[in-house]
Amino acid sequence: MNSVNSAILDPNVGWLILAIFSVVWIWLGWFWGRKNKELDDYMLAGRRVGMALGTATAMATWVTSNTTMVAPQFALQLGLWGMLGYSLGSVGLMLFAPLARRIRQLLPFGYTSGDFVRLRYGVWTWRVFLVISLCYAIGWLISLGMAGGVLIHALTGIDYQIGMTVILTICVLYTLLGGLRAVIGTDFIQTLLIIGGVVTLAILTINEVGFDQMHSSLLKDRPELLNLLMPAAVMFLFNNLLFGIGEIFHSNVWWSRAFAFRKDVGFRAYLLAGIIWVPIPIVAGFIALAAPALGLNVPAADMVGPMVAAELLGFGGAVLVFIIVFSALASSLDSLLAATSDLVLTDIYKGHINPRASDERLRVMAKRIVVLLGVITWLICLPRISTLGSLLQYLGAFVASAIWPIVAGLYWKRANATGALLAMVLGTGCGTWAYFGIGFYVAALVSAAVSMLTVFISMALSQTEFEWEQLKQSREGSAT
Amino acid sequence: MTASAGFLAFIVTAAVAVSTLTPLILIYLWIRDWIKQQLW
Repeated sequence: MNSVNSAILDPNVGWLILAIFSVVWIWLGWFWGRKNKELDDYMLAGRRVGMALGTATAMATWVTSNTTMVAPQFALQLGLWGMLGYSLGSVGLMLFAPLARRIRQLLPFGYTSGDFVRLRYGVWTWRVFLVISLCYAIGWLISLGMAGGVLIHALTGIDYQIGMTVILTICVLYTLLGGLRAVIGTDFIQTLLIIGGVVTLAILTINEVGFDQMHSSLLKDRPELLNLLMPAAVMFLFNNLLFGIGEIFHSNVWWSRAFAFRKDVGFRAYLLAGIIWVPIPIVAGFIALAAPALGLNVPAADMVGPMVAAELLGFGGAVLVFIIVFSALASSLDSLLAATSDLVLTDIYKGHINPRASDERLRVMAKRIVVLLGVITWLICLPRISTLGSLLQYLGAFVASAIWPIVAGLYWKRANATGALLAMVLGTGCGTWAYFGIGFYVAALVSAAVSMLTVFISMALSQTEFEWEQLKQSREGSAT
Repeated sequence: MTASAGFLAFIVTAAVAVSTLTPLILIYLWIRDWIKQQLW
């Protein structure tokens, strides 16, 4: 697609919107950041986040540019099950609800998911977990950065590299200024913008195209998209379910929120966020099914969403789409920057490099790490490596291997370090083999299955029982 | 097995309806937390 020629917004309008939102987000980052006095304020928003902000941040973080771009892509490639399968990503949020309560009980002073793995399973399992977790975090950051550049280019014609640089810079700046408090505060506003936008877009698509015309065009041109028994799509459905669970259960993005929410809020906020997340991929994804009815030739599947929106909505709608995309990108990028910075700070810097670092030193390092992550992401994003969907799905092999070590470690005393370590290594290895040998839609399935078997066998063979009290030492600790 | 136009319409309309309610739920929760001084 030649996006410069087919862009629906003038680049000057794009720059104006970018400038307005940049000023607003950065000002809010500074405004909320003023209240940060201690390290806990910066990293965990003071550990007193309420139900409204808690629900919105869980929801907004999980509604990413991948949701707004890849859900239509999957609808176009896998049909109805593509968008329904994407919706199953919400199950991860709902299942994390009891875990969030358990995490807060077991680690009242915890900072990261790494804290738990280190105290629960020991140093070597912790290191393997950190490799998986950081690969995932960087991969997600890259996919978000790339999505930013691609979308800004497609909608406004602004050069990919420049658009990607702008979105990354804005998110780094306000995360730097306000820490998790700024991330959570802006997430609330971004949630309202995203949902308002996708609902408006969906209603306009229904009015313009209509279900009957959409259905008859699909039957004529792409009947496989309406096939409810499409084998690859059904496999994708279960794969995406496990992928979503794996992403949420292991990632510090979600653990840091479990630590940041008020004691009685975690369970309810994650459950409600999961419930209200369910329809979002359907609302955002189904517009791709209008492509045949509109006679659109879609050269790159991950561009179908913006193309349909551009065809249907004209100038006012194009501005709306741009705001939705910008909000979706920012709400996830900022969360990921903050949570990954916490993980690198606590588990790499304090855990491995400077165990005696003071809180003041850690606060300085936290800001430097946010900048460093932004620069690394920017460098990797400069060339557009692959389509967003395949990059995202590749990570499924990694994250699904962590589901069972996390769940077993939180609830079962007989879960042990050897089993958890082997589960992550074997699960990731077999999932990667399945990704290349069979297809992207089975990577997470194979990885989770191998990991589960390994954990269960190791528990059956184990004679030792873990003492939960050992987890209370989460405030101090390192590899040395 | 092919999905009918009615099935497609049902799924999408239900999703749009639930999504329309979401901002209202969040704003209600925000007001409730703000009154109780429990925003953060």
